[in-house]
Amino acid sequence: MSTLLEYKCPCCGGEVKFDSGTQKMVCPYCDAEFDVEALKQSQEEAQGNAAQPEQREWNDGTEAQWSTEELNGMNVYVCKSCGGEIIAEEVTGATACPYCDSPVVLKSSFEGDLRPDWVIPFKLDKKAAKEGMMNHLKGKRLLPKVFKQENHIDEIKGIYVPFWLFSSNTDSHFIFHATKVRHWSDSSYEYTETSHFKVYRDGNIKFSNIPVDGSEKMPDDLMESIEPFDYNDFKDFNTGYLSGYLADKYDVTKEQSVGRANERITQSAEDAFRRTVLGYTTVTSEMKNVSFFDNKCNYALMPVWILNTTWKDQKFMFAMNGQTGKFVGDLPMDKGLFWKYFLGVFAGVGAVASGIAALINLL
Amino acid sequence: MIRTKKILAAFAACLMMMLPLSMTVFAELNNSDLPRVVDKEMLLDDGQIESLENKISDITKKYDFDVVIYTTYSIEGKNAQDFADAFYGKSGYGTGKKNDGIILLVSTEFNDGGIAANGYGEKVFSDEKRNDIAGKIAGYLHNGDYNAGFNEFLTQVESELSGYKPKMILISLGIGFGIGLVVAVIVAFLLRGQLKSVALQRSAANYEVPGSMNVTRSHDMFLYKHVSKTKKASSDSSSSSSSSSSGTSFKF
Repeated sequence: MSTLLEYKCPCCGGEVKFDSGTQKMVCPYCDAEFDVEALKQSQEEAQGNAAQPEQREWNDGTEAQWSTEELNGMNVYVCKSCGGEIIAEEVTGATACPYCDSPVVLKSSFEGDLRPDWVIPFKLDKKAAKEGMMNHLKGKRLLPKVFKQENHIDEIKGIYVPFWLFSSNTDSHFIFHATKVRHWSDSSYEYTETSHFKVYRDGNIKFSNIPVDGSEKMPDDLMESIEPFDYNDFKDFNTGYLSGYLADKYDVTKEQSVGRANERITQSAEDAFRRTVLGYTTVTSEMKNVSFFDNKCNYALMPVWILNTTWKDQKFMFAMNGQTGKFVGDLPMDKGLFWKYFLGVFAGVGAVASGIAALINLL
Repeated sequence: MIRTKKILAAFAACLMMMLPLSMTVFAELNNSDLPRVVDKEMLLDDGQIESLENKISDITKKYDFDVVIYTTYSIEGKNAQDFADAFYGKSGYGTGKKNDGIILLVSTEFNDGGIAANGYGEKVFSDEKRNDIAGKIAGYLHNGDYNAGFNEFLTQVESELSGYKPKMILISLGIGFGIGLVVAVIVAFLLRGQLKSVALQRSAANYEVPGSMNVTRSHDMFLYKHVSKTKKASSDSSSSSSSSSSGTSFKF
């Protein structure tokens, strides 16, 4: 069976890609539109009727084509459209042929246990991603002007990022130390009375589908910054959605990811129970014990537009949620502008405040 | 060109804001026909009185501040500063709405002296300053050299008034630019914060299942209480009974 998937247009034979605007597979040559499932079925039927010898040759060819690159975590494939060699990382799930730019899906990356449960298809296209980038740069007074040059924007790539989704019910026990403070005075003294309390709170709270990214390449803080995704758009996994985009399978296991989910759950549980401690001046946490049960873990692919750029030997990575459009990414600061604003405000406000202070003192 | 104009306009606005530091608003001298040296005890001759009046007039013109010297035999058993203050107020001395000025009272019955300041004079002549002036002139008055004592009084008053404005300007500049520094730090760091948009999420609040929270135990237990007290600051015993002036009494 072929390890590469390319979706051909039944009308004209061109390579079809998933269109985020219509949420269908679209042929760029004849503009025909197909439902993802329907096209997949049609393709499978066509493959079933294709001559067997070709497929056997392909299987034999794959085994013969293992090379030294595989030992370094790379895999080698042959493009079905042009015959060109595609060298991809082990984690790559979908890419484009470097010779003919045909979108390819590496089926082996999503077989068996590697098959995602769900995917959120891209809703926003590359044009929206570019607009997102331009809006992200707007209104940033300390951003160096030269950074806004457009020459990097075409390098935006749409990637399906692998995420682990953790769901759990928690059994929480918290002890807080709380105080109530009261003030009063008489003719000679000012009094302060501080009452101390021990506050016990136990209970349950459920969490659903906390995402933790399963890709080493994607910085965790960047992926958490583009949250949340709207899970109402979850679709059952279908390789058709990946066509035209890049995709990686996970290389951070769920065991490695669960710690982060646990951290967030524990903090949320503490915040939720602390909100029930009312009527005190101060509340501090003394003990927390959070146990997890009814745990569930799912694997999903989420759409993210990524832009990498380098400026003054510093690397900058930007990400846009391919579903909601939330754009994030730290920007460089023009130190000259920073000091200009600082000194300008200092001088301006200082002059006004000095004048007012002088008026008050002298009148 | 437009940018240069904007910078110049901003600079000019800043300078205008600082104008009050250099401004002196001249107020009217109340009852200007009244003598400022009232020598009931005839401790001075006419020439000395005229000289003192001229000096007082110079001070008033320069600093917009009234100065009165009052000599009398008896203060009728009252506190010297209160007597001086009452005389000052009853006679209608002072400049402007707050009757800015200072009065020196000398009573020869029991060698009592009193200094009372009004309006703006309360800020310039603190308790410490008044006591200092009293200390400097007491010697002259004790020796009977009243003219020298009164001249020394006027010298001290003028010295204090001339040093006050620059000090106030410096204090105003210090306060003003202190506020400017705080605002500049806040604004600069707010602008810098615009450039940061990447951070780990603090918690999983977005992923709590609504309505799933169930509190099974909620118990608040009182442990102990603690009471602390601080003594209130005592009021200033040397201040005058009048709410608009400050005074000092002394012996010579």
